[in-house]
Amino acid sequence: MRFELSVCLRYLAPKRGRLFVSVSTLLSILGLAVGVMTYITVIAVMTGFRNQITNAYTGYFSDLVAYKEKEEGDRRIFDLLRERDVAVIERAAQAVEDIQAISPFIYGRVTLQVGSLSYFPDLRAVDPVREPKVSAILSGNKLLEGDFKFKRDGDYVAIVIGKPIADKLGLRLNDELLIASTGIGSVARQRTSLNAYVAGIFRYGNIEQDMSAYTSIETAQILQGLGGDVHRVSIKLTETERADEIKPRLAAKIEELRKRDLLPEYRATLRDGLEKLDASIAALEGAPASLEQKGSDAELDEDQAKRLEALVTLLGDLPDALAKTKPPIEKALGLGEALGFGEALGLDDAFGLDDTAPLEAAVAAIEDVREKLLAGLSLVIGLEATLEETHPLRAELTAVEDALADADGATGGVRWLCRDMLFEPFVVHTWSELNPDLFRLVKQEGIITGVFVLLIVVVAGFIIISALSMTVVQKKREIGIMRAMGARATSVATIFGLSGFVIGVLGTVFGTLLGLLLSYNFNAIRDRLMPQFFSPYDTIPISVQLPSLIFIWSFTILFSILASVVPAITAARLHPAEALRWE
Amino acid sequence: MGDILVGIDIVKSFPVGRGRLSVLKGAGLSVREGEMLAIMGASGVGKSTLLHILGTLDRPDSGTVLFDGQDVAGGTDAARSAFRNREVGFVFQFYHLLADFTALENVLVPARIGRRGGAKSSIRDRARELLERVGLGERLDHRIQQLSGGEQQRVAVARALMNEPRIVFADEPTGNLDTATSEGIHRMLKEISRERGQAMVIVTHDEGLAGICNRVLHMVDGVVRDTGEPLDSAAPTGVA
Repeated sequence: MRFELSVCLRYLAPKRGRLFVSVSTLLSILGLAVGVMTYITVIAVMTGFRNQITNAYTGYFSDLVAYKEKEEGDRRIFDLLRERDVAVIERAAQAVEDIQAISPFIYGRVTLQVGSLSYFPDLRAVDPVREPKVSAILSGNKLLEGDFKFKRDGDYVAIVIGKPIADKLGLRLNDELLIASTGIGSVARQRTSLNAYVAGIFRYGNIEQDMSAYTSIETAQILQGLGGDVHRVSIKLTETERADEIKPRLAAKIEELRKRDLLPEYRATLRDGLEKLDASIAALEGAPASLEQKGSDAELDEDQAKRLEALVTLLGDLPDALAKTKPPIEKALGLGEALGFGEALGLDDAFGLDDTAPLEAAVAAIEDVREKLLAGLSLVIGLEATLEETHPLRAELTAVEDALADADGATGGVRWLCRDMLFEPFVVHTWSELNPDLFRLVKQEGIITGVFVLLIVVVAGFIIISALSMTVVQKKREIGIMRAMGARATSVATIFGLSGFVIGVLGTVFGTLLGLLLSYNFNAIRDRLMPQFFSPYDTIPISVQLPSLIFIWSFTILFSILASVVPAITAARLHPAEALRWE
Repeated sequence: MGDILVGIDIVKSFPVGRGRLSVLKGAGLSVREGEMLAIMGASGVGKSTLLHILGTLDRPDSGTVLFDGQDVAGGTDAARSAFRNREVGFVFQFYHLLADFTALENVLVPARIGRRGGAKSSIRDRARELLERVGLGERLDHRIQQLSGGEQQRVAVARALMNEPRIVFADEPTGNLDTATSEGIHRMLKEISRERGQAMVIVTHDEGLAGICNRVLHMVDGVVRDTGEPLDSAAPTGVA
């Protein structure tokens, strides 16, 4: 290797020249250096930019957010959190490790009006005590004036606004204004307007946040007519990075607590439903025969006779159909009882309602029979309507109607509860899931930029190929000489492979030095070259990350070696006798 | 007197246009240990090609090259390269030195390619000694361009001897030099051959050079004709 290295170095930097290295080598090294420099600078700026955005938002939002949904048709839509829902989330959060705090909030767009001026900022209503534990939005160092206590002053509610809004509306601390809900971007039951005063003015240095307003939960509840309800709950973890891992644990715990809360009602309803079903079955069992009997005794016209016949047929297999719903319901009840039993023994984890199959089976069986029940009811009511008040069949029909209504009530109640058990209304999201576009955009931008910058290195790789190929042609005779002196083909290939490596290392070293120099002076250079585009506030926090350095180093060096493969193979393939014959 | 190198029935042709130009048509010769052997013949008769094949720089289409009874014409690139490095020295008409290196560095090349053991300084000492032997003791660190043709060829001779090969091939070693310089080189080759007992195979047009060799072979139409007895009655040293 020592021989190959010395030849390779002599080729890259011939002593006779005036330059330290040959021109083609210099171009190759410069090409790589420019690529490495650009990559390091661009990635440092992009990373710094991304951190800036991420920090701003992660400070603004919490690590996890929980809310509730309801079914509308076959879609899930946003639902308000009742006080007991917030309590369920809070209990779950206390039970799950690594959760630090929770804080409910309301959001929406409001109208702020001062005289003839108005503005429509996003309003976030939070608890001034709980919110600081989950996010940085109420952190005092962002406040320019006033406080974040949202203290009501008589009829005037407190509102804290960003500096740009204050400037726009000409507002100063303690100035009065009118605040009204718009119904845009919120779940509001009604729209109200309130007298407010400016309790504080803040600036985050981030336009989206500075264009928003804060108030207390109570104020937002009045504005939107929410009563005691809120929109979502913010959740703070001990470690933000573990959000993806803790999210499912919290969701499962919330769901478990929700089911457990429902359990007494569930057990009672199912037991009650089974009892009512038994009574209805008993009541309906004799009905077809006695209806037929009474029907033949009484006088009926053709239409009435037809209806009665249809009813008798329907009632014929109804008791059986109703009886068929009992085993799935019993099984579903069994689960609930087992859960209670296990709970009493402290074995609650072993008996869960996680097994949804019996619940689904019960719902399916009930839906089957409910169609028949409704058809029976409509037949009975239709027939009754055609009969006179004193008709002998009437009493019989009323009894059947009662039995059918009881069965409908029993199965309906069971079905409703089973479905309620099955439907999981709570949703937990991580911050990045709630802002997927922003996150994806920033990430994609970084990747795309990185790929394009890498193209510079690739182009430099082509310079290496052409430079080394030229060296191979120039040194053809010398390659022949070395072969004659006993150098193997592989040694010759090694000389050129090493050249690629040396060029790669030199390009990487110079590129890294230049890149670091450029990165750390980026803001100063930028302000000098293009002062009109940037204000002093916009300083981008440069972030040079070791992994990205390691990536560009290895990429450049590997690519340089790769670029030397073609010339190396050409050189190795040179026939020694022909190389020497060449003059 | 043993044969160090034997070429048997060597055939070689080169593609020319659509056909092939037959250069060697069954050439054969044997080189004795320590002898100085001249190969003469008209231009283009295939002397250089034969030399390349004997020195394993080229492969014959058919035929055998035996060195110490071992076939060296076949074999892997690594084996042939190692053979060239250890057992063979080359001197070319156009010197063929590495332009970016000094005289001393050029002489060192075979040793460094061969990764010969031994201290770096002892290898350098040997290279210096060889350059002194060829009369360039004062020009060790001169770049190749700074040397005259005769001096360059002396460096090439020193280089050929660096790994103490048992055979040296010289292809028109003085074909590019004036008469006076040539004669100096001739004398030197003869002396070295005597001193070190290295066999030398010299392709030449120069009657003077052929005249100091032990034997002269003539190449005609792709084959080698032996004219018989050595011109020099003196038996080569080192074998006597």
